[in-house]
Amino acid sequence: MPFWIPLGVAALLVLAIYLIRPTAQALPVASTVLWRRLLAARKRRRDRLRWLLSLLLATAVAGLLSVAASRAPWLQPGGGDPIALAFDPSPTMQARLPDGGPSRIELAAAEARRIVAEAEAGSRFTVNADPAPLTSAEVLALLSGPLEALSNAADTEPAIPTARRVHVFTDGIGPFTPIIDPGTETQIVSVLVPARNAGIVRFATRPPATRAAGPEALLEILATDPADGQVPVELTVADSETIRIRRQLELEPGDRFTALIDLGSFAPGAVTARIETPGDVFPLDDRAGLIDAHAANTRTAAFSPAHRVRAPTDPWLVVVIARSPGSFAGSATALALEADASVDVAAVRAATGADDPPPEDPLPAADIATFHRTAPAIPPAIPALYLDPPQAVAAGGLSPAAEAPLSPRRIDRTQASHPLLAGVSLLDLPVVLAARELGPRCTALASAGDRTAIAACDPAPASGPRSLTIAFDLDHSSLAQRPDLAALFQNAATWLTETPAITGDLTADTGLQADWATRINDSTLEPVPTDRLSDLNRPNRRPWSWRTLALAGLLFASFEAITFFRGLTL
Amino acid sequence: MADHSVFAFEPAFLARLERLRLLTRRVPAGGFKGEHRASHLGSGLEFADYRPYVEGDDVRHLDWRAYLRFDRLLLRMFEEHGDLAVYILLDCSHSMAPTPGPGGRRKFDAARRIAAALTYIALATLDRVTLAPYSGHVHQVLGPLHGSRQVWRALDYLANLDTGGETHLDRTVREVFAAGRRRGLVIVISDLLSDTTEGGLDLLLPLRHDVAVIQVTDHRDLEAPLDRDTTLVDSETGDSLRIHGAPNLLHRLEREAEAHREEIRARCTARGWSFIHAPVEASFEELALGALRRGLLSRGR
Repeated sequence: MPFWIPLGVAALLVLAIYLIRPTAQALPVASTVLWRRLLAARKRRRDRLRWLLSLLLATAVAGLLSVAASRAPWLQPGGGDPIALAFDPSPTMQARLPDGGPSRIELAAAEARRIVAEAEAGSRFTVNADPAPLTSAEVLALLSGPLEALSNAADTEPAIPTARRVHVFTDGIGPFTPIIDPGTETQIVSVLVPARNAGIVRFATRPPATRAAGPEALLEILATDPADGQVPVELTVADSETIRIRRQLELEPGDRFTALIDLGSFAPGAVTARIETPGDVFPLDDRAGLIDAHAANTRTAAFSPAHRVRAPTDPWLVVVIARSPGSFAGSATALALEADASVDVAAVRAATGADDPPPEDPLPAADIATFHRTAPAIPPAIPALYLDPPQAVAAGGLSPAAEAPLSPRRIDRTQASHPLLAGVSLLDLPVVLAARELGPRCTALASAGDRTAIAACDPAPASGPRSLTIAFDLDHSSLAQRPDLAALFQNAATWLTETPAITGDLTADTGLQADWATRINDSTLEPVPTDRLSDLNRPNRRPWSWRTLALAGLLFASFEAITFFRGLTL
Repeated sequence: MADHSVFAFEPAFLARLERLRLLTRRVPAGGFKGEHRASHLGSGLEFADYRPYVEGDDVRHLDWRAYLRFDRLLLRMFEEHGDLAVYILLDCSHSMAPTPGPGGRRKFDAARRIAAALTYIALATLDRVTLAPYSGHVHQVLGPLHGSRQVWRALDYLANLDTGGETHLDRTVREVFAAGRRRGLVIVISDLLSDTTEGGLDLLLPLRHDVAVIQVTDHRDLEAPLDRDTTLVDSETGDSLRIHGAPNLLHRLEREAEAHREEIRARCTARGWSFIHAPVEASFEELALGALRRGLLSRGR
């Protein structure tokens, strides 16, 4: 039924009632003087009320116009400090609740939506380290969409923008320590829900004990189960051709299954280990891979020294792969490494191509691999230092750019606060640089215009070791004659080896987790009740904008003026 | 046909009236001899006081004995007695008898009884009484009457009065005192239900009369069936006033009437005038008591 039909009927009804209203009775009285005085008194009261209302109205007009004119920050839809939302990016956030429930990151997003919906009107929000403030509608749209943007951040120590309040969403597993301004109110929201999981926590090659022994791989599996029941696990290990090992395991919760796998019979190339567990909530740690450095006939294998176990007092061992060992011997780099007492150069090898025969002597175990004017096709498994890498090769987070002519520049921007540049002054240093694209998880420590001179890459712990790239020729730079180079190398040795290599050879997509990453039940954080997973997509209300307030003030003022000048009563 | 039933005064009541007399603070010199002491000292027989002689005084009133004793010229003063000019302005407008029939004339009858009693008292004390009934204008003025023999004439005059028209006290005051009259006591008897009341009283102020205002009220004026919307019709002017029924409207009307009365009382008190409220239910003894309290009447001669 159209709206105007009931409206018309109601109007006619009101009109009829008004018309059939009984007329007033006539009553003669001695005098109407007292009645008129009485009505005049009532009118005076009405006038007083009108005066009071008029005063309130005028005050409201003044207040509204003043507030609107001031354009107070809290009137703005993005005024004031934002509320920061920090999401734990660790892979364990992908674990799902039992019985196919939401994952932890979905749980976190739902909780974040609730926080956004209940936030003060006009609040703005930042997500992770992104300093761009978002409105509640924008952040709700972000939280309601695919959550990869929240969980794919590799930085486990994100610098949270200045905020009046920070909500940290984490399952308490994995290193996630956002950097928050001191004194900022911080609320940690746990999305931990204990669940069944079995995961590969270590799958690495091990150097052979003797030259006669074949290569071995160490495999460790950790199982957890909130019900303390047996966790059945099916393990398969395969090379590039076929499945070599298949075993059924029954693990107690908390059990660590360890196996040494002889890789001698495996085909060259990648070796993959998989486990399957009924009810497993976290598939990312069910698969791991490695490349047998000794069997694989690849360039990477030739350049990948094994990680060594280093005592704290030992110097760092460095292996150098140079395009030309002869030119390296007299380079500024070689001199600086020789002068550094904390570094021992274990070996200097020439880079070989894919078609070259494998070197006779395997590379010794080392802490840092240094590539001088060369770069491997696959990054090594240990921290790497790239010195003047070739323009056409991706190395250390720098990829070739389309147009990359070398040109002289001067370094005009540095990240002086980075530990790598402690005591190092690079500003105004003349360098010859090519344009390169900076990869994810990499930071330009020194730049000359739009070109990166020094890049540091700090992947997530499970993704690979750190690397540092000096993208210009040190021998044609005045840096070689300054003490800053020695300081830079010392800082590099410290920084590159801060995070020990977790696995031997780790391909990018194995999802292999460190053993601490699957200690699911060790967290002391309280779980979030699942009943909070309500639909909270309603955006919070928008504040009054200054334009709205000004319009309201003007409307009130017009009404006040009309009633005042026309003598109308309210 | 005169309605003397209104003034059915019993002999005992008349005897009580004869023991009363009207009071005033100002009695101008001259006129007939009366029983009121003048407000100034004059040529009477009763010695009152001495005062120093000043040039121009009548030397016949010098007290030579006092001069011999005190060596000062002192003048002997004597009290002077005169009569009081009493003007009774009686409201005869329609509001005094808004509805026909004996029940509707209660205010007017009460006002006439009061006027008659005061006339009787005044004439009994040798005062001069002028009766001026008024509504929109002054009706035929009776008086000045002097002497107790004029009482029946005054009563007959009052009994023949009727009501009608609007109240215009201001116009009445102008007409009565336009020709200039002796200053005396002006008694206004009215229900005061008129917008001209304050204006009329204000006109009396420069004339320097002593004034007494007697408001005659009937509680039935404050009663009306107001259970629904009502158009009130003014009995004097015929003006209509529409009101919407409200539960406490009559109660507020009573408070408004009281406030109106208090306003006029305050106005009179501020000017040194007497104000007496005379509900129609009150007996003359009650009114006389109120008049005694307010200094309009006094006992004994």
